[in-house]
Amino acid sequence: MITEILSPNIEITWLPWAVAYFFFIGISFAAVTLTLPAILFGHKQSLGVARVAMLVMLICAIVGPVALLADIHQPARFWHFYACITPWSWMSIGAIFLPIYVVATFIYSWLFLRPALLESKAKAGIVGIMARILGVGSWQGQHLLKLMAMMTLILGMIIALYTGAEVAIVATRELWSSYLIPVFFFTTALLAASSLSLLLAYLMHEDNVTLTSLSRYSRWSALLSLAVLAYWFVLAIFTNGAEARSLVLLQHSTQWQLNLGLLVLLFAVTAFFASGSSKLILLAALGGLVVSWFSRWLIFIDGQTIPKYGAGFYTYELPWGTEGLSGILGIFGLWLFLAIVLYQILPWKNRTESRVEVQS
Amino acid sequence: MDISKRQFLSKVATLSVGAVLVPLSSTSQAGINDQPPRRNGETGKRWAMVVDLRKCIGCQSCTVACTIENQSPIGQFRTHVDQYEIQDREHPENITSLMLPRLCNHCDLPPCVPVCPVQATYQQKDGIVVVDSDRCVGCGYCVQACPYDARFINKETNSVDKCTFCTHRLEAGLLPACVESCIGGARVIGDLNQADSQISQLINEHKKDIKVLKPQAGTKPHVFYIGLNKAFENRINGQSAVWQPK
Repeated sequence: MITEILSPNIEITWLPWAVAYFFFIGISFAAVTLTLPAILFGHKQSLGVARVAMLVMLICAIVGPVALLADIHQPARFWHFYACITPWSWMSIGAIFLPIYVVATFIYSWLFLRPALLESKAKAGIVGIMARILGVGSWQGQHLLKLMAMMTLILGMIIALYTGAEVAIVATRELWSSYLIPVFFFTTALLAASSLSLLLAYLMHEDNVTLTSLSRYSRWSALLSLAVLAYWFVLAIFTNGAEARSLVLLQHSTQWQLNLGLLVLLFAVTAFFASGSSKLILLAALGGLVVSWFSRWLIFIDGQTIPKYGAGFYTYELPWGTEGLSGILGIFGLWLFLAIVLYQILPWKNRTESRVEVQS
Repeated sequence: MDISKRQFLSKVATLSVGAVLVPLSSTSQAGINDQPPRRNGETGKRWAMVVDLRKCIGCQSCTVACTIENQSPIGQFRTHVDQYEIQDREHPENITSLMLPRLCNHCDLPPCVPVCPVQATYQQKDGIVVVDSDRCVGCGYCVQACPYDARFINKETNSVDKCTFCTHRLEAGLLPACVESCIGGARVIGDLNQADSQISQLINEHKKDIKVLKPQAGTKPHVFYIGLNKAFENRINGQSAVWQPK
């Protein structure tokens, strides 16, 4: 029997900011897909979903990169990413596409809001001012909107691919080194995006059709995430790949058993509540957000406490400062702030669907 | 909108989508996650280290000397000596201990290098893996990719830090601080390309007993151990008693 008497405790390197980045950018690119039935395929009843998802996509496309900047320990050197482009590094590829994606979300939501902006030009107050600034010209731009929907979708999928791949190629972390990671990130991102859209739709007094559609997205993405998790266990038990090596490492840890059990339970409860009454679907929305955050927390934060060579686990305690709790609160505060500001200064409240050209 | 405008916009769209995809296709040809060419350092040399565990007494002189030489912050180490207690299952009264010096393995296929998004971490022509701390953005991707937990974000510089085999000392004709300070002479550094170097001779002499950490990782480590039990080649299957700085 071997006992490790002396070995330093290695601190985690990707901080809760990384969890926040993967959480918010995931929500953003998944929200793009929620806008498509209305914008790209002209499904009139999905316009409420598209409107809320558009707002979610936009806010998270700003909050995500802020969290990413905070996670790199030299944020002022971010320009090095562009001065030293490294095509063989997934992170560098991501750094190229991330700002393009963010700009695409700006243009996409701007085009979506154009009819309402043109309509609001004469209004008094901040909405009118913003409409006069952003509503330049008199063109509607609905064909451009479809084009931009496709562009944003492609860019969003590139972000989904790179965020998944940059984690999955880390061969030395068995928990990360799985082709299921990008898939799991996507299904849980879809869950968080539909859950967050559902909460906003409720607050924005969207109709029942919208709430029901979003809760259906939540239910299916929760079930899909559960299926991916189940498949991970199948691979872990019946193959001898990285998933199996992970299970060997984690199976004797009570903490990990509890965490994985809780994860399964949260997905199941979310899926169950998402098919319930109007009050229950709000609980499902909260559950969807919590489980999406929690799954990323497990992968990144707890995943980094697994030593690559030594015995046992490294210890991690959430610090109170910006590297920990106040950072998490801060980034959610930024999200809330942007949500309030963007909701107040842009004409989301106008029934833009009556002005958006849709094929019935 | 007239037809010419529409055609123009559709061409712009095609070009834009194409432009988005071009970088991906070119990178896949370049091989994502492939080792980039080595740069700087001495051509023709291959620095490596042999650690003779039979001679290590776990005094941590190397840890202290490295910390003083390289000024790593308190609680963060470029090298350290892990200590293990091994108890015979059948004869519990038989207890022995192992001192295991750990450092960057300066692998031939270092997984930390291709992941760096700004090429701040690279392998020199002489095999030493270094970090340009002025270029490093502190993203920590290399820390994740290293199979040996040999890298860390320096709390004072906010850049990645790691063992460099004291390349600044080697260039000045000096031994690395850990080698210089080792009481038992357990650490030997040298050029593998030189057949008559002490390290080449040691490796030849102990050919059958030379081991590296995590050989299955496929990284071709260049820190070689003499006297390493097979149970310590890969991740330790045992209990931990983690020491943590207050």
